[in-house]
Formats: sequence, structure tokens, C-alpha cells
Amino acid sequence: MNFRKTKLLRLTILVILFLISPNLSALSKEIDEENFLTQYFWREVITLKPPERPRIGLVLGGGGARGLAHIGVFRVLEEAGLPVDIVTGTSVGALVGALYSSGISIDRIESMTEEIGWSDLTNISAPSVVTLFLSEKLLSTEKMEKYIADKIGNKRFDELKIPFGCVATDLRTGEKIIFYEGDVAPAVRASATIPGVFTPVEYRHRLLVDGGLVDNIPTDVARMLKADIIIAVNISADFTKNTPSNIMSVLSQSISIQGEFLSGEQLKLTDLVINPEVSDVGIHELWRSRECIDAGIVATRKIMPKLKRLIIDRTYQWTIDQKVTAGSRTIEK
Amino acid sequence: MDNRPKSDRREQDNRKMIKNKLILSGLLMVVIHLLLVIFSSFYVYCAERDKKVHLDIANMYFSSGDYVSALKEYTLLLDYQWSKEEFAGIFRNKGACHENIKQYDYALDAFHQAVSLEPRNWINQLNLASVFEKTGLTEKAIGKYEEVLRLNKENFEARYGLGRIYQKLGLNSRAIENYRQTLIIKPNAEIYRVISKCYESTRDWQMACAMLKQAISLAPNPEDYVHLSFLYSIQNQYDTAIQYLSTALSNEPKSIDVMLHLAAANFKKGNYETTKNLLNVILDMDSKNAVAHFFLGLVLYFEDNVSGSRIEIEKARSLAKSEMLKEYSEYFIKKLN
Repeated sequence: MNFRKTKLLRLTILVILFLISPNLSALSKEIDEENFLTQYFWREVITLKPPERPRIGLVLGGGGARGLAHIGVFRVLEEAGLPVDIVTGTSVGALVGALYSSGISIDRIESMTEEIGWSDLTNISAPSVVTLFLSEKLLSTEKMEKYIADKIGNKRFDELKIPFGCVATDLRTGEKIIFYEGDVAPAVRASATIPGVFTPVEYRHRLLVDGGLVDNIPTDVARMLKADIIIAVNISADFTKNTPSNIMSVLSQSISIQGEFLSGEQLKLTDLVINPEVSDVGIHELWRSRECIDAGIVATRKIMPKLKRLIIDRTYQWTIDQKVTAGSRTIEK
Repeated sequence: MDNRPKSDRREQDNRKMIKNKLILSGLLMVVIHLLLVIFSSFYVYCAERDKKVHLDIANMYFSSGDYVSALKEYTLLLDYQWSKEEFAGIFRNKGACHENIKQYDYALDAFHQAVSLEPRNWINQLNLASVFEKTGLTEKAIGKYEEVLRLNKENFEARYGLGRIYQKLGLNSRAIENYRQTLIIKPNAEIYRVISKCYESTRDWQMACAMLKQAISLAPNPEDYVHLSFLYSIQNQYDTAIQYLSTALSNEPKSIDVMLHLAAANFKKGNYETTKNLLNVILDMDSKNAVAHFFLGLVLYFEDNVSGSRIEIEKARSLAKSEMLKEYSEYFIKKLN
């Protein structure tokens, strides 16, 4: 009797399995909703241009040699086909941002970092450093201006391929000076002139130095240039890893601490932050360029799914908002 | 009668005895020697057979994928006498076992041993390249793949490996160069697909399309048609996109995925009637398809049919399986309200 019951139970289970198996196979062919929507709206992101989709702004923070990570960020964004509509930057962020916005390929910018040294951008040398300490004669960033002008072709802001803005500090008034028109090269030079080391840049009766003193991550400049989505690249230092032991390093750390404090507020205004792991790289360590670029690549690849999703979501909302607003206007008429 | 003196007879007897003893000893030595020869031959025969048996066992484990057992056998085999080539072969297999169970350090050791025994054998260099690539030592991997190509110009795996590494590094033009070389050696659809991906990364949509079409000509795959239509859409060539999707649909008439893509392409082109027809066909096949309801809602809204749109979007929201579709539906409904 028990044997018959067991046999019957097994037969029942088999029949049930047989009945549901077509449904199971149908389930296995279900549409992946998220995949479909992502593909559809990502195509919109790639094919549409503003104002048909939101403007994407990239904000590049300051940090000396650590800023070479921005190159890695650009590389990954290009790979993914993510359009960048606006670029803003401070200090090294301004330098890399200006080069990219002028239309120089990322391959070319990367090869430039392999050639570049402080002597290409400044008049730094052993004797000049000694003079700095002994007679307090500041170094010059005039070479930087020539370097930038040479690389981007003496362009003005309105001649750049991508709208660009950068920030400097007026040493006399403490004001934040936003550059978004005029000649690019002197603006970038001013943004990257470290106070106390390099001679401030004279510009229209102002004495300008590194924008990091007042705004190391210029998100408000991106908003001013009409960015709808703001992605910031934060290359702040980890102060716990550094023990400043000379004038330069103490000065550099002091400026960084101030910049960090101000950055905290600016970062709250961003939609997404990319944090390359470069916190232990000193601002003067240009020889660690490969490491910094790789850190930018790694950090951006890691955050890419989240970034893509953010842009797709905002593009979808943008499309609906535009359509609904247009529809409302038609009704009102 | 023996007339010799007694002493002479005794001496002769002694000589005979010694002679016999010597003969006996000699015979004994020969026998012992023979026995030794037989025994040692037998021992060698057994050892050789044992060695071969172990090798066969090791290879059997290796072929069946039991790499742990194969490793034990290969390790035992190292105690035997082998020729250089044979030793190299054992180290190769040992390395392959370690590689398959992800013990990359040990794999590298074994492959290095193989290389030291047979430096001109490209297989050894290829094995090293493979492990370097898997462990992220890309520069070393590139070096080894190039070494393989110096030893064997037409090596497919080395060229493909170089293409793969360069593609991963984002050096798409170098990747394409290497992939194209593999096409000369052994053309196949998969290579055309990866070349297409490289062109996509450089946003060369035309070449990306061209390569994907080559892949389709060799080995058509429904996903290729959908992706090709995507590439044409990016170039705003919706008619061509629709054409490829229609081909895909004719190959797989019941594919809801292809139908949805076709509906989306028609929607982008502004062919709302065609879009609605396709979506209704999908809903006839699967009335609970949330994506179809969602798109139908969008189409109806674009046709200014707000109430119809609301009904469809609400159905999409209730049927949605993914958070993304739920959120999108809710956002739309909020806007409609």
C-alpha cells in the first residue's frame, strides 16, 4: 500500500513538472527589462545633443601631480561613449581640462605627461630653488603659459570644442575669479600658480594665484555654464600619510587643507564623485604619472555602472519633462 | 698400478681440488652475475612500466579535468629519469594543472622550468603569457606573446592574446591591428565581433557596422542583428536599423526581444502606427509584458492620448519586475498627474 502511494506521489510530481516546464522555458526567455531600457536610453544619451538631453559637466579638482588621474578618467569616459558637454577645473584640473576641451586627443595628452617635467612648466632648477629660500625670489610659471598656448594653439575660450571654465584667486582681495572668456593660456596659468612658490600672475590689475585657495572643485562654475548633471573628480590628499618636513611641504599641505575644507561643500552640489586613489602622491611627483593615470582609470571603471544609470535616469526624466511641458503648452494654447 | 711416490699423488689431488673449487667459484660468479643482470633488467623494466603507468594515469586525470589528482601524479613523476623534452612536457602539464585551479604562482614556476629546459619551444612561452595575462601582469604578457610570435610568426593564440590585452587597455588601434592579423591566420565570426567592439569604442560606427556584418556573414547570430540595428540607430539610420531587425524577426518570428527592439526603432522614427501594431502583437503573445505596456504608454502620450497612456503606464508599473521600470513608470504617472 505504502509502495503504491509513493509511486502515485512520484507520478504526480512528474506530471506537475511536465505541465509547468513549458512555462519554465518561457520564463527563461523573459525580457530583461532593465537591460532593454538601459540600451534604449543609452542610445538616446549617445545620439542626442543638448538641449535634447541633459548637459553633462565634468569638474576636475586641483592637486598637482595627482591631477594626472583626470587623464585616466577621460579615457574611460571616452571608451564608454559618455559625452562630456562642459569641463571646469582648478589648478592641474584647469590644465588637463583646457587641453581636453581644446580637442587634443586623450592619447596625445597621455603621451605629453610622459614627456613633461616641472622644468617645462616653470623655471624651477636647483639654483632657482636656492634663490627662493635665500632671497625669497619667487619662481615663474611663464613657461606654463607658453606651453599651454603652444599645445592648444593660442585659443580663446569661445574657440574651444567643449565649453570650459577655470578658477583662480585674487591675492589682494581673496575673491574667486572665474575664467570662461578671453585667452585660455593665461587663465590656466593663473589657476595653477601655487602661492608662495610662484610669482602671482598679473591680470587686469589683479594678482592671481591657484584657485584651490578658494574653490578646489568648481561645481558652481559648471552650473554657471549650464551643466545639468555634474560629475566631480576629487583628487584630495590623505594628510595622515604625509609628515611635512620642509617649507615646501608644509606650505603645500596647508594649502591642501584649506582646499579640502572648501571642497567638502562643493562636493555636496555634485551628482556623482569619482575618487581616484592618489591620496599618497605628492603635488610635485610628476614622475608618478602612470600610477595616477591608472588610478583614474580604475576609479572610473568601478563607478561606471552607477554613472551610466544616473545619466540614463536623468535623460529619461529630461525627455518626459520636455514632452510633458511641451504638451502642457499645447493645451494652454 | 700407480708407482708415483705418495707425496706426489697427494699434491696432484690437491691441485685437482683447487681446480674444481676455482671452476665452481667461477660458475657461481657467472650465475650470480646472470642473476644480477636478470634482476636489474627486471627492475628497470618494472620501473619503466611504472613510470609509464604513472604518466598515463597523470594524463588521464588531466584530460578528465581532475587537476588535483593529476598534479599529485605529475609531482611523483619528477623523481624518475626523463629526457629534457619529457621533463619539459611534465612541467608544462603540471603548470597547466596549477593554472586550471588558479594557483598561478605555482603555474608560473612550472612553466618557467619548462622554458629553462626548452627555451625555443613557443608553447612554453605561450603558457607563461597566458598566466601573466590572467594575473594582470600585462607588460610581461605582451613581452611573452611577442616572444611566441618571434618563434612562431603565425601563432593565432599569441596574436589574439595581444589583441585582447590592447583592447582591455583601451589601445583600440593596436588591438584592431592584432585582431586583423588573426583573421589572416584563422578567420571566424568571433574575431569580427571583437573588432567591431573596438571600433565602437573609438566611435567609428561605420567600421563597427562593417565588421559586425562580416561576423553575420560567417555565423549569423540573432543578437548581432539587434546590435547592428543599435549601431545604425546611433547614426540616425533608422531605416537600415529597421531592415536588420526585420531580418532578425523573420529568422525568429516569436522573439519578443527582437519585436520590442523593432517597435523601439519605429518609435524613434516616428512610425507610431507600426510601433503600436508591433506592441499589440507582443501583448497578444504575452499580456504581462511590462516593457510593451510602458512603450505603448509612451506612444499613446506622443499621440496626445493622455488617458490611454495613463492606463498603459499604470499596467507597466503593476507588472514591472525590475525597480528601474517601476521607477520610470511612477515618474511618468506623477508627471501626467
